[in-house]
Amino acid sequence: MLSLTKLLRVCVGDGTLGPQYSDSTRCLRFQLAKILPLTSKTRQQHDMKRILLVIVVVALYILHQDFWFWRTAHPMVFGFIPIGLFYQACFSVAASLVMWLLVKYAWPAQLEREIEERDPEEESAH
Amino acid sequence: MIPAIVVFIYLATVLYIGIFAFRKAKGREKAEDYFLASRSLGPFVFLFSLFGTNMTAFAILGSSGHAFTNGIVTFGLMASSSGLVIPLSIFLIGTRVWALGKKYGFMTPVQMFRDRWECGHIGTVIFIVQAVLLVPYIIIGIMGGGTTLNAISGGLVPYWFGGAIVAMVVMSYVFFGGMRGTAWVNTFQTILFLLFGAVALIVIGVGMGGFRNAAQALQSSPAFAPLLTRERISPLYFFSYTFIPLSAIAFPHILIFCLTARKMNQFKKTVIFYPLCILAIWLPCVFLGVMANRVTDVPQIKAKQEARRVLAAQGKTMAPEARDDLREKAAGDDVILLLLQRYAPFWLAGLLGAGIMAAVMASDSQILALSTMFTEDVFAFYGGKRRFGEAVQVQTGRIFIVIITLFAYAIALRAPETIFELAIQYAFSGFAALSPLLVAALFWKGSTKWGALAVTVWTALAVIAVAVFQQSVPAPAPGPSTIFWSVGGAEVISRTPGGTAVLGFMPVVPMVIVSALLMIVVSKVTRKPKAMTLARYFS
Repeated sequence: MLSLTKLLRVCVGDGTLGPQYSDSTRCLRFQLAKILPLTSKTRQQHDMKRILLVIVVVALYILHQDFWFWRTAHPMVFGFIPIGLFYQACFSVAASLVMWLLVKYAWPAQLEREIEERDPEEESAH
Repeated sequence: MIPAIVVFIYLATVLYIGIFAFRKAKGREKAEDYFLASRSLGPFVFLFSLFGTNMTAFAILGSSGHAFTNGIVTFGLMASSSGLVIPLSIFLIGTRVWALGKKYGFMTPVQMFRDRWECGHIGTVIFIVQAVLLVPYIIIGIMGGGTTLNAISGGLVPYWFGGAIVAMVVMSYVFFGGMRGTAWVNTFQTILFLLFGAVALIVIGVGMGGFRNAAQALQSSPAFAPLLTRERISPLYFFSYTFIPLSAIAFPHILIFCLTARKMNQFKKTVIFYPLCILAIWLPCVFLGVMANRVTDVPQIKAKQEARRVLAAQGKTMAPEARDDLREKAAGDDVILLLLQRYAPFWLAGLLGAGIMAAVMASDSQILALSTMFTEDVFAFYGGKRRFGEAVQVQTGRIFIVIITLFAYAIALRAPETIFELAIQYAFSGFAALSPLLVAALFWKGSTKWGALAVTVWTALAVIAVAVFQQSVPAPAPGPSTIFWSVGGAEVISRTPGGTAVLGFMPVVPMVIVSALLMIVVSKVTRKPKAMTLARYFS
């Protein structure tokens, strides 16, 4: 775990940030996230968010099996797209929205942090 | 001939982009630069080239051909399920593999497996299975190139010459441009075939006098109305197909591509836009494939419909060879080309033909991936890099590219295309069955190298078993399947008109489930890697 001294040295220090940080706020945010432990409330919210996202993904997978439009072409959307095809096209748009939710709320930022923290150390070693 | 000239201009452009446009002056002899573009691809190129890498001839030619025969089910079967499973697997697995690659310098999946499970030769076994499953793709790419050039030029460019041109072009830009050249060519190609879908839809729609009339005509015909529903495919088969996209992340060329991103943030756009890109390409192709059944003034399409009708009516009484012959005649892989010839003006047919060529030529990434795997997993692992240095390693990779392309071309000239189409079907199931390797390596501390070996050997045996079964038991006529083995009246294994069914599912379902079980069971009873190794992955 980073100490507060190291954090200040990395993000404020002599005013020279590593190339991976666009500004010191971003740098502080990354480093603080590593120092500050999650409170139990934050952890609960975090877990709840993950569970909800898993439910959304599973629900979407189930919705893909649309047996309810299996044997009918009606209604024909815009007069020429069978409902089964239109449904699956809408499913693709929904999949994109779910991916957006995953990226927004479950992005594995810790992996990125590990790399960004490692890079300046490597650079200074060279 | 004009369309063929446009396609040749396209090929020259691709060659220029791949070899010269993004060539870097410095560091050409570094393996990481040649094979992974120095892990430096930006968000735009990363999205389009990763997507393009995964879109092969199947996306345009195969999807419309499948839709021509089976109807709108093709989209849900192959496209929308991929739109969920592939970005999800990139999100969960691709990002983690990228981070590990960045941390520990991995350039291939096998390097990661060797490190994660502390194994050497087991990694080589995984390499062999991956390579064998990947080769048919390269062959079919060259075959598709030859067939497409031949069709676009109206027969003026013979198949052997078209295949040779495509092989030469792909080989040249992969040879000189490495990953950077390949990625830029893929980006250019993806933009082309994204445009292709929209333009083809409009041109053909206008030519057919509007889709509303065509759809109504199909609906009123008892022979074609089922194509607007999914009644020709069973829900179990439909469900089974959602396992196939698991193969995408297990394909070495896709996983290696994940290592090329400059930052992890670049995965965000790819994950979000992937389903929309699939929608943009597949929806027009599937729709046009179905609508092709309405075309009455193209003799080749009429001949296909007639073959399909005879197969359905008299297939049961025919010899298996005659049935296979009719199936081949009824196949609709060229319906998009036929529609373009019928409805698109000459100059536009050329541009759209270039779009099709872009999809057909997707074998570049597979060639480069095989070369990367050979030089890293075999040449470097068995001491070549240490003895001869990195520059020789890159040269070895280049020589391998030439050899594999020539080998693929030689086979493409001799073997019938259907064999490799089948091989690719097996490859999809095979790579899907290998996907538990990645999940176990990244998410389960308890997994072991013996579990990995069990998964790999099982995958190889299962693919061989399905291939042998399908070769020895002839496909029945359209309708009920032939029961091969039943227990207490329940069908266990049966031969269907399109392949094999195990308890009503496609073979990929039991293959993936048994793979996952083998990984769990064998890992439980074998020795885990050292704590120090585990700490590198699960700290």
